[in-house]
Amino acid sequence: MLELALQQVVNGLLVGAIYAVMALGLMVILGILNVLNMAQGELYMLGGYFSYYAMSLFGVDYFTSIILAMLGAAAVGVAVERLAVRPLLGRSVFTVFLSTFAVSMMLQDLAQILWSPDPREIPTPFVAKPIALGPILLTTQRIFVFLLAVAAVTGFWAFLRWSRAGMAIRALAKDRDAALLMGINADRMHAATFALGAALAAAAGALLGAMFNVYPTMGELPLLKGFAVVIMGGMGSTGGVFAAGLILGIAEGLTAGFLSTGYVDMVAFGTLIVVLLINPRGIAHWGRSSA
Amino acid sequence: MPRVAWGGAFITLVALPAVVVNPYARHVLLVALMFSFVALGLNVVLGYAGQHAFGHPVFFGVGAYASALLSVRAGWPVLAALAGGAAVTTLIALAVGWPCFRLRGIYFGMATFAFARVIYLVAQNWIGLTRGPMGIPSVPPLELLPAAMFPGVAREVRLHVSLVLLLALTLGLLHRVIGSAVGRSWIALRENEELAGSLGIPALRYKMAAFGAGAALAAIGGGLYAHYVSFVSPSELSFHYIGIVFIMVIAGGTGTLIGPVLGGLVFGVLPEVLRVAEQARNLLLGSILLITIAILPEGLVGLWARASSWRRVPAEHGAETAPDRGAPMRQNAPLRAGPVALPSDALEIQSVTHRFGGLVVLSDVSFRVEPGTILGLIGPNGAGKTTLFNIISGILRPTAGRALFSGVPITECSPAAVARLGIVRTFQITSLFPDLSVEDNVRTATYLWAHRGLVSALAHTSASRTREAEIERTVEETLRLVRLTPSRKVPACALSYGAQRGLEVALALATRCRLILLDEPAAGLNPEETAHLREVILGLRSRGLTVVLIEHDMQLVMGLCDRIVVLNHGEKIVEGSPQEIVTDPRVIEAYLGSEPVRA
Amino acid sequence: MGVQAGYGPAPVLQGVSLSVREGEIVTLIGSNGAGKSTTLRAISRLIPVRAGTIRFRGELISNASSHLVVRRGLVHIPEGRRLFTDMTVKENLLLGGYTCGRRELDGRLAQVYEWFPVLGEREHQLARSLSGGEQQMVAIARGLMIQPAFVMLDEPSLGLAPKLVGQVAEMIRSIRARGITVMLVEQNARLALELADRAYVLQTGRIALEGPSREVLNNQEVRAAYLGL
Repeated sequence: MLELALQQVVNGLLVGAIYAVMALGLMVILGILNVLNMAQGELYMLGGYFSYYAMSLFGVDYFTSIILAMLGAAAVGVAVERLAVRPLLGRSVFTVFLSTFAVSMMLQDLAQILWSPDPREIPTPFVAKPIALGPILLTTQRIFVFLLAVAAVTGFWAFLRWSRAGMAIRALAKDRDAALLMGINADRMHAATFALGAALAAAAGALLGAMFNVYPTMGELPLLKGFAVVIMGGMGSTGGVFAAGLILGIAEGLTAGFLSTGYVDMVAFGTLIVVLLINPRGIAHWGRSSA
Repeated sequence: MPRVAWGGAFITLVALPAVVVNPYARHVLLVALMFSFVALGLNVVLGYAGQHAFGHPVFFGVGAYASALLSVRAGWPVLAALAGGAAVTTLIALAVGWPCFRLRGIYFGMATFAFARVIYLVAQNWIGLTRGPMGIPSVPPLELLPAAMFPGVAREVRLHVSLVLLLALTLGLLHRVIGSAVGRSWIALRENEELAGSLGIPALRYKMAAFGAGAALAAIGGGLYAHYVSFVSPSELSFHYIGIVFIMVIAGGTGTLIGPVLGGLVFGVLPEVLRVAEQARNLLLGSILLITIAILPEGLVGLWARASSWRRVPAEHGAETAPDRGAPMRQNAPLRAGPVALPSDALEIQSVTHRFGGLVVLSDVSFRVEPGTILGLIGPNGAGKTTLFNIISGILRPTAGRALFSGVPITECSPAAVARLGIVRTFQITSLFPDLSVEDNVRTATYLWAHRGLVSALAHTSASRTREAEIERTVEETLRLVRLTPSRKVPACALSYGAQRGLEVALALATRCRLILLDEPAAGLNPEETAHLREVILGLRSRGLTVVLIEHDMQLVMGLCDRIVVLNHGEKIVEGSPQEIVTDPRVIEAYLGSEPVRA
Repeated sequence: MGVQAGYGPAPVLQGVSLSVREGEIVTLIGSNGAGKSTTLRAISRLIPVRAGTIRFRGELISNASSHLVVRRGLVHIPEGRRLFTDMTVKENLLLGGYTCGRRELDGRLAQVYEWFPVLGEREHQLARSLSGGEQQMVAIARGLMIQPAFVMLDEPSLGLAPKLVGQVAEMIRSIRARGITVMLVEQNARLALELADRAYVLQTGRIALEGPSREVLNNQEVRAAYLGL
């Protein structure tokens, strides 16, 4: 019993780290542009497909394909920002939402038409045989995925904290007018933010896609779970979102192990409701009362 | 729109089947009518109440399921199942809305969207209840106009006529609701939630009401659809249908009643058209959505309004309800400013301290305002005056100390609660309902003493008519007092700066409060407007109101106030009559600094 | 330097024309709501200009974006200081130097620390933990990082104790001493008129009076309205 629990917790941690990566991509776009990128799930999906095709068409290895997938998705992200978001920046929140919603629907169908709805498997160089760590079984792939996810989260945090562009992005989010007065080019930063968010989503897609499968609608649930994680973790807090992602992963893992796999996807929303009712500002702000 | 046009549209719509004979086209028309209900529902939440409930159209599918289940599983007759389905859906909507409303703006919207997906997942997986992806077949057909009564008339025609009648009835009811205090409160929330709160409108209650009412409408559309196609499956809960409803609402235009109906009728063909596209149906849906956003920014209604250069009056009816109904207006009826300030209506500030992070903004401030007097609160910029107002009006809780009004502590109250106790304020930065006309702004401000509830808004009782007449009287008198009567139909955003400031005072006055907090009402006014403001404020006092005034215009302050409190760096440095203040050296130093004037 | 603004954005500014020559300190005074901050925001391009023109050093900037204006050497130090409160003093200053090249940045930072030694001591402190006077210092230092030709200050004395106001005045004088042109918006009319060479009085969106600051200081109406005399 305990072994099962421990195994599920560890499995959950790995998936949870990916949720955090996805959530951070959503969060940065939301925080800087106040735009909910409904196409984030499709950027995740494109990450998976780009990785697959990079390997099968250009023959690169898995690790390079992840980088290429991130770059490709970043380009798509910039295109989305330029074409579907920037022209609407004065309009209502609903309109911008609809725009990214439309893009999301279109990308899904495009993927289905171009690449057929059949799921693909990304060939990975990992050994299938798991390593035993005490009572827990771990595959090298899962370890790799987890480490890379942690690296992505850390890299994201470091980028925001120390790089010039990162500071500019943070400044824009905190006080837009003051940031403009510093000479920060808002348009360019918006594009950069979208590129960053897209790259994170693509990384998540390429990583998880190799563990499971790649198919056109694979991004739907990660989008919503990513959003739930942002709310649970607390908008603006990298650490909070990371923790929330891990917690969600663990909760899902335990649910799959002890209840049934059918309910796994509901866990995210269940925890979301609980967080909303207790403190809608999220884990990061737990100490302070909800105003 | 004039009644004649409405009548003509109604007749045309009813008579359509005479012209449209092709059974496929008739089918499309029926589906379009049903979707109009759903579009109306989203419009109530989004267009009128301004809540970005992105996932709301899912209640179309929920209503379809609820009605189908009640009639198939529980054996209810179709009409009862429809009504019951709408009721169940409303309850589900309220349960979903409650946690979601803990978030604001986009986050709220995304939360509703997430719940829409949850509902889809539940329908897919809860096989015991919904038969999962297999759906519910053999849903009994709807017969609003039974065949027995109308022999020889084809089923679709009977259905069509009954739908048009139902739609007309619904539009009529909505029209009354929108024109009532309920509708005005929704619009107020949309236009300026902070101002609505400080005028006494309880935000959450009305948001939930809009959410639930919209869900009921969507559920009716869904139920009708279920009993028409006789089959319900999880795809009715998918993003695909949500997207269709979005197009209808955006294309038609939000914030009016015709808009969603137009959108529903014009784009009602979408479900069929998209079905044909099969694999690419979402691609097509997305493209249509983007094109609609690009070329119809204000929807079809906006296009029409521009083309015929009508000025859109969003609340749609002030003028209609005024002279026609209720008791005849007495021209010389004195403005009832509500109960005259009672002797116990003093405002007491006790040791109020407030910190923002490390900065002490207010430090141990205490004073008392006697009822029926004018108190001036002055001091250099940054002294903490507006912060004090924010504390009194319930926007902020002080770090320490408290405020009492009529002996009742108000420091823990929300802005709406403070307004109910009789305190209303204006803001330093002009705060109005920008898209509403001047008279609608004032009407909205009468909420505190005028509102009664949804039922009385729908029913046309003599009590509600008397109340409406009194609202109109108040609007007349208030507008006359601030000299805005000629601009009564102008949208507030189009007024000059001075007129806007005057309107703000009018709003505060229309609430019949006992104490008014005026935050720099003379800022930016020219001398003539300032003189008029002085008259208005004196008039307030003569009606028994208590006034607390933040101002920088010294002449105005000295000539108007009974007593003055001077703040500097968050501390009260002096309190006294104008004569005492003007000669007090501490005041002079605070304002003018101690640097000598260069000769 | 010839900064001119024609008819400004309605409805707040209704035809404002002013100009500032190189090396001057010009002040814009007026009561709340008169449009002083709006004027600055129009110049720094935070808000659109509906009519009229703005020229800086001969270049038309009325339609430029705000980051371009900064690159041209025009800095706006906004009302209320608007520091990035969750960031340290050093980070705020670095952001001030956002448009500088990497190599210049260190040099500029060192120079700013020379001018304002207190900031050097507090460089790793969060901006929001500083006192009002220190925050104003950071705001001004931040603006000077790009070595601008023209600085616009919006109510720098806001909320400061009289002693600190004197310090701010000194800072402004030393800015001019370095050859930087200054435009000062103030509600504290006395301070503004004592510092400036020339003054404009703004009232309900229009220029009501202009001239050398000594004349404006001695004008009867101004004395009554703004100096309480």
